Amino acid sequence: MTSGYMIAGYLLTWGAMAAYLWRLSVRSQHTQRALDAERATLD
Amino acid sequence: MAKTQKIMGFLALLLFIIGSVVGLFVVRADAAMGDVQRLMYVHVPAAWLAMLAFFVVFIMSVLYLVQRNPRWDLIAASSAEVGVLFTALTLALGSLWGKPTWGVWWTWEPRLTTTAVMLMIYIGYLAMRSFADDPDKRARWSAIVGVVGFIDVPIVYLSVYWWRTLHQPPSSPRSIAPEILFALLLNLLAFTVVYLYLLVRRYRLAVNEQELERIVAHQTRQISHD
Repeated sequence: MTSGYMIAGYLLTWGAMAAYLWRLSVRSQHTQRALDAERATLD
Repeated sequence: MAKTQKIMGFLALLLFIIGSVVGLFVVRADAAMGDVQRLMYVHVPAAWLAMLAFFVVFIMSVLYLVQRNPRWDLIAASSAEVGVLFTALTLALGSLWGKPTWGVWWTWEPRLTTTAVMLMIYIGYLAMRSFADDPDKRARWSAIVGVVGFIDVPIVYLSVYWWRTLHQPPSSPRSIAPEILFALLLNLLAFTVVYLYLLVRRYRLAVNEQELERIVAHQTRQISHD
């Protein structure tokens, strides 16, 4: 009966970590591209 | 640096997998609570790491106010964001545990309420940073919020001793079975490495964001001079 809550909790934990990491990766790539473009403009 | 980050990421993933496997399959289910007790192996470490993350925000904020080094501000902001993730996770996991155990998803008891307040404080901290345009002002205001906002963290910890209501106080290592303690400490280690990994990644992003902001501001000033 309670194993559904347990499974939901672990899925949530893994999902939250994965979602945050994905968001960090997307933001990092976006920022790096913008930074490279701005540096190229300065050169 | 990139290699160290990769090793940290691999270690975090490995420990997280091992911690979850031990918590889900290796340790026996609690006699009274059944499988739902296994949520403690993620709920408790998430709560501890949230508090650690906000302690780091506090220390970095004090350092910033003393030394005015932007690096401390960026570490504080990075730790606050990871701390918000862990706090939200703590509340959600606690809610999933509370429904079958207490019979409710949420109740306004002191530990839950002070934790929700803690979440709001640090969401506010991050929101304030996104509103402030001037980097120096942003860092100064953030540092003040990072110091003042930390007042709630010891209140969260002590709430279960001050108001003895629904949420139980922390278990002592002497009062729980060795295998449960092992699973808890293993997951605490896993969450700590995950926290450090996320902190490093978020900090590197923050450094790049600041550099980008500096270049754009410089170009805007040049355009306005022309």
